[in-house]
Amino acid sequence: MKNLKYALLLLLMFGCTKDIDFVGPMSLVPENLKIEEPVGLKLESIFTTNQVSINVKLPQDGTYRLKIRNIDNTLISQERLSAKEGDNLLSIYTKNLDKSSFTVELTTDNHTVLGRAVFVNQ
Amino acid sequence: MKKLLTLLFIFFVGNIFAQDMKLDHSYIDPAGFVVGDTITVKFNTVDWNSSNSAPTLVQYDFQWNNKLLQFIDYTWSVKTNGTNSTAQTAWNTWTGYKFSTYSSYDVRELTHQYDAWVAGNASYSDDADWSVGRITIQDAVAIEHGDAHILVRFSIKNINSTNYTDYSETTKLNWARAEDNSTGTVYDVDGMTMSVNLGNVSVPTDGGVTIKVDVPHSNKSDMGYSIYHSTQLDEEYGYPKPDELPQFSGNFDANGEVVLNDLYLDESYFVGIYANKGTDQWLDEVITVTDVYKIFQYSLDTDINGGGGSWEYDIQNVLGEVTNDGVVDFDDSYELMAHINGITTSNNVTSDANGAFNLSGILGTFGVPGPNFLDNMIKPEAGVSVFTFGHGLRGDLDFSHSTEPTADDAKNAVNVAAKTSTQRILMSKAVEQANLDISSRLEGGKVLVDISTTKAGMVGVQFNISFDDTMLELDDIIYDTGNEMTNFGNVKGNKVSFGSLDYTGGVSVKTGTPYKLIFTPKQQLTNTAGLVTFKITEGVKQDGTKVKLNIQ
Repeated sequence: MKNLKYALLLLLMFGCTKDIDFVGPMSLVPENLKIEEPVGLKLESIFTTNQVSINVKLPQDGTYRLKIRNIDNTLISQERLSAKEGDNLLSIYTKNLDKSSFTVELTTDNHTVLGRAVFVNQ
Repeated sequence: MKKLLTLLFIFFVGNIFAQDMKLDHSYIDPAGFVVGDTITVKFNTVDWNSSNSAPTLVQYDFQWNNKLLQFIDYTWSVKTNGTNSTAQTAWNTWTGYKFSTYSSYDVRELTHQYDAWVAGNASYSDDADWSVGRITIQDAVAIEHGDAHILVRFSIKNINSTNYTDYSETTKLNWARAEDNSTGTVYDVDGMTMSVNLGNVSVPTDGGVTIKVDVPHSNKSDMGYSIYHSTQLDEEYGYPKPDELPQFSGNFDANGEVVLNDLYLDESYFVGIYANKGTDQWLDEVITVTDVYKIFQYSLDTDINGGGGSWEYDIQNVLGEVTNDGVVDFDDSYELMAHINGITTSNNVTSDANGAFNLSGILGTFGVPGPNFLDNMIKPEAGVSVFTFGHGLRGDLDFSHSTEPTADDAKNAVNVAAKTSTQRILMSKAVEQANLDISSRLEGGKVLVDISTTKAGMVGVQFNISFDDTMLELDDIIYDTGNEMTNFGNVKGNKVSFGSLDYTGGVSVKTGTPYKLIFTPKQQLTNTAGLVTFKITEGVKQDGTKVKLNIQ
């Protein structure tokens, strides 16, 4: 009987609570870094000085590479990183790069290209 | 047939209406040019098909023929159009590259060419005749159509000193992209005037005197010249007197050429040629592990045989002599070894810190023993107006940045006749290519850089890397190169020089991951992209072959 009273009390409490609207999964990806496609990369800005944010959207958890290339495709910097499926908010540190324009490239660990973007380091 | 027509209609209509914008470029000066005139090339976009395109980001590449045009300067017009005064702008250039379009798209389909370039289907390749310009404009509001983005000025060069027959294609549009950052809208851009045709350019019958420097590197615009009249020379030594100033001086163009219009016929002139480090700071790349291995091999041979004579060319006796004692020996070897270890060495070792130590002379006799070993004199005459020079940098024994002599007489007499093992090692050879994996990663609060190779048989390896020293501090270089290998490593500021060399040529660097660098971050990092960049990655084999290590 006592249990039944508690159950009714709980039902009454939650029955009077305002409905919470379900708004879908929360996303921490800023609007300017959102990627519509299932896989790819997007820079926060085409102009960089010391650092620029980048979103790397991946098909599955795994090891990937972020490569920075100059105009003739020579690789001048490369990171190997473990990342998760979906959006990964990362940075490209550009203070050590020449004042020029470069291409950032996302590949699998076996060098299959998943996306590229151009930026200008000022 | 009906289906075919329908398909063709859809294709054409689709193509017409796919275009949102045009990119145009043209000269704004009155036509009728003569060599030496300045032209101003205007770049602008045009809205197309009433698409109301409103890009806030515009970026495009073009290229110009640097044999026909000499770049002067540029002016941003977009900031004075009344709308885009706060636009961010960037002008980037590269010399010695040409764009190869993706053949599945028309060259006018500039956005498709951009997409193809990003996808790796179009590319830039080496071509000394062309230079590339990249224009980037971004603003919070739409970038205006019609008004000029940028004005780029060139002077017209004399076609007579080139292999070209006309000025019909002095520039070309390569690719373009345009986006509205506020909505993510991507616009399709096609080219309007794809290349600048200067028409008939009047070329003077007296095209001046052309001086060329024939060197195998891409920093020719960092090469300078100084010209003295023969009356300014010391009669005994044949060099300019110390208090004399050059009558003409300046830098060569990207092709290593300069045309001078004020030299007198039948007068003699002394031409001095020198290298500057310029903004690229390329002089540290001249002397590498291959040069060091060769000079050690020479010194070993000289020591054993009491005289050697192993160099392929006589001029290497001068290139390798960096201690000013008149002979090439172990002292010179250790100086070059110190250089690749990142240590500033004696003043005759060419480097960014020391500057260049130059040798130059008329190419035909460059390095030929005798009075014309380094012949700096020219005498323009009727029908003799082009002079080509060789140029060498002390320490550059493998001619990576120096002119390899062309005359048979420049070869060492002993070397021509016989081939000892040392002579074979010291002979010039084609450069080999090999793959290398260098990458950084974040692990256990440290930034690790792993260097892995499967290339066997390298008796020497050299790496120059730089790092962001505001973010990283180098803790250690870990060598796993084999028990008998001699390793080196040095840190100067944000530059790390390291590698290995067995100068006897008896031991090779282990394959696998022979080198690992460990850094401690000075700030919290999410990842490591861009923190470490690679400059020199080179190896040398026992037989003296240079191995260019291409990072994958």
